Order: sequence, then structure tokens, then C-alpha cells
Amino acid sequence: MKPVCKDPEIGALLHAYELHALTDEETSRFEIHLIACEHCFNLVQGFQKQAALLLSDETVKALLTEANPEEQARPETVPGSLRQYLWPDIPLVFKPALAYLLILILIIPAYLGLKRTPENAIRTIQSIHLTPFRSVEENAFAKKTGLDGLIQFVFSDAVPGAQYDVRIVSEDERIIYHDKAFDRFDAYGTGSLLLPVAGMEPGRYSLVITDPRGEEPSNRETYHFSVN
Amino acid sequence: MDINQLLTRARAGDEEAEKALFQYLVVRFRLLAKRRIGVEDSEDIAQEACLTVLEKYKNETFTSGFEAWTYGVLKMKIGNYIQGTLHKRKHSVPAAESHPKLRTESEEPAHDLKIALILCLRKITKQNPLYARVLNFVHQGYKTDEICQRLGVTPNHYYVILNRGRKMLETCLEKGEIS
Repeated sequence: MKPVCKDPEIGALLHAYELHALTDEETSRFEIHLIACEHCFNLVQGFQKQAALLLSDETVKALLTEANPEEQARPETVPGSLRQYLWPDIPLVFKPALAYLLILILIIPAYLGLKRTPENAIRTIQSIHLTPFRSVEENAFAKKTGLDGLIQFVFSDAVPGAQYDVRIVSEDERIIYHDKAFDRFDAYGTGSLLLPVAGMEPGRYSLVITDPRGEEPSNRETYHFSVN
Repeated sequence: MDINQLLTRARAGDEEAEKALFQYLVVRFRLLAKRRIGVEDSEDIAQEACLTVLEKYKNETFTSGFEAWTYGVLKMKIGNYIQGTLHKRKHSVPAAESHPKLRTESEEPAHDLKIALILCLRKITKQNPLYARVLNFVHQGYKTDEICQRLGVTPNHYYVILNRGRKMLETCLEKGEIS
């Protein structure tokens, strides 16, 4: 009894298989079918030489080209070319170029946002640190930089949270800054003030801290700094 | 004999059935291996794959069928062979002469067959120009979906065209004419 194809749906791929015209997945499906199907196996086995000739013989090729003069050769695709890599013949959602573009669209605003936020939020300042000890370093702000100046100073025995009188006085006795209830000393007796240096006249200034609860003159500390 | 009947009997301890199963598989494996790695080593690969199947088939559970499992074994053997060949090619000097070609067809088809095939193709080209056109597309390197697009047919219709052409070719080669 002559065998019949066990699965005609897969068996239909027979000649395409012989001509190496199936995809890898279809080839696997058909080869599994070949193991089980006597009918298709016999056909493939009996047609091996013919299929080899059909596929690779130059005379056959010439004959077919002659019979179909209007058909042009398939344009060669360069394997591994950038275009093919970025835009292969696959459904749109899987194209790598599209994925890169989407990633860029998402990343650029996030990157710029991250970069701008600290710039806007934190301004560069110039600072000086005044201590009760003599220092060779000149305590001076540079007006031309246009930056605000942070002045840090120490008041011995300052109690955090307690209120002190803090004033800045110019050479000609003008009061530039005065806070009668300055209470921003830390546990080490250090306080700080932010000054609009760009708006101050060049010259020497005095920073006077007074403890209203103490006895004069020991309740006072005076520092000097300048704006150049 | 059906492969699954052979398998059932062989698993039950029938030695004749096991021998027949081996014979059944080895010819198929040889054909499939030959297509991928050429004639030279296809016999060895087929034998090796069959031995692995015979070693394991009694204790194996076949989730997608016995034939699919045996096919997996064969594919693994072919994969190992190709990797080994590439490794040898990379590390041996001179490489070009020392390794076998991955796809060779050393059995040259008979000259008479070639002449008969060409004569038949000439006849088919006139009677079934669509088949000739499809063959030409295959030669030009077009893929199935591209051929279908150019011909304006579905893949199923494309396979039908191919199989009709093949039948005509077979008949012509057998009888010398297209009936």
C-alpha cells in the first residue's frame, strides 16, 4: 500500500523545502514531519538529485533567466549594514532605530531637567570665615564677581536659640545690617549671614555681635572685613 | 511501519522493533544531516544522533512528540559538528585544506538526468510559465514573502504552484512528456 501524507498542510511545503525556500522555523516543522511521514520522506529522498540540479546548475539558471527576461535580480542587501541593522524587515514596533529614537525622546528632557535643576536652585557664593584669632588671610569679598557673600563668624559661649544683637557697620559709621534678635548660632557658637556684596560700597566694614544679657565690654565681639 | 508503533514495541522490550527503529531513524537523519553539512560527515552525525536516541528514548518523556525530540537530538549533533568545524578552521593551519566544507554535494547528478531535466524545464516553461517564474525568483534569491508579493498570491497558493510544477517535472522526467 502506497503511503499517504500524514499532514497535508505541512506536506504542502515539500517542494519549497527542496528548493531551500522555507524560513528556519518552517524548515524545522517540515523536517520533524519528514521523520514521521513516510510519503514525504520518500518524495524528498527520490528527488534529491533533481532538486540539487534545479538549485545549483548554471544551465538551469540560464534557462530560467532566459524564460523570464523581464524579472530583475533581487537587489543585494549588504549583510550587517547599518541601515539593515537599524531598520530591518520586521514589524514596525521591533525596529531598533525606532527604539533608539524613543529612548532619546524620553532621555533628553530627563537629562536636561536634571542638569538645570541644581543650576537654578543653587547659586554660587563667595564666603569668608571670621574667627577670634588673628589670621594672615585677608577677610575680603570681591565685589566684581557679582556673587553674594556668606560671612561666617564665631561668638564665644553663644547659646543656640538665644537672641543676640548683630550689626554690620561701615567705616563712616553707617549701619548696613542690623538684627536685634539674631538666633542662628549653632552648638559651636558659629553663625552665618548672607550679604548682597554686589550692592555694597567698596571699603572696610565691622561686624559687631553683642549679647544683650551680658556685661559690657565683655559681651561684645567685633570682626573686620572688607569689600574690594 | 509507523514510527510511533515501532517506539511502543521497542519501549516494551522488543529488540527487533528497536533495530527497526534505529534503521528507520538513521536513513532520515542521514538525509537531514546531508542537507546541512554535506555528504562527508552526514553518516557519522546520523549514527551518533541515533545512538543518543537509543540510549535515552526509554526513559525520556516526549512533550512535543517522539519525532520532534529525535529531531532536537539531531539538530544538537549538527550544531556541535558545525561549531567543532568552525573551531578547527579557526585554529588549524592551513585552514582551507584541513576542514570539510559545511555544504557540499559531492554526488554529482548524472549527466543524463541533467539533460532530461533541462528538456523538461523547457517544456514546463511553455506550459506552466508561473512555475518557471517562481523557480527564477528562487534562483534570484527572493524570499517566500517577496515572491508572493510579486506574484500577488498567498503563501498557500505559492506552495500549490510549486508542488504542481514539481509534479509536472516528475511526470516529464518519468515519461518524457507532460501529460
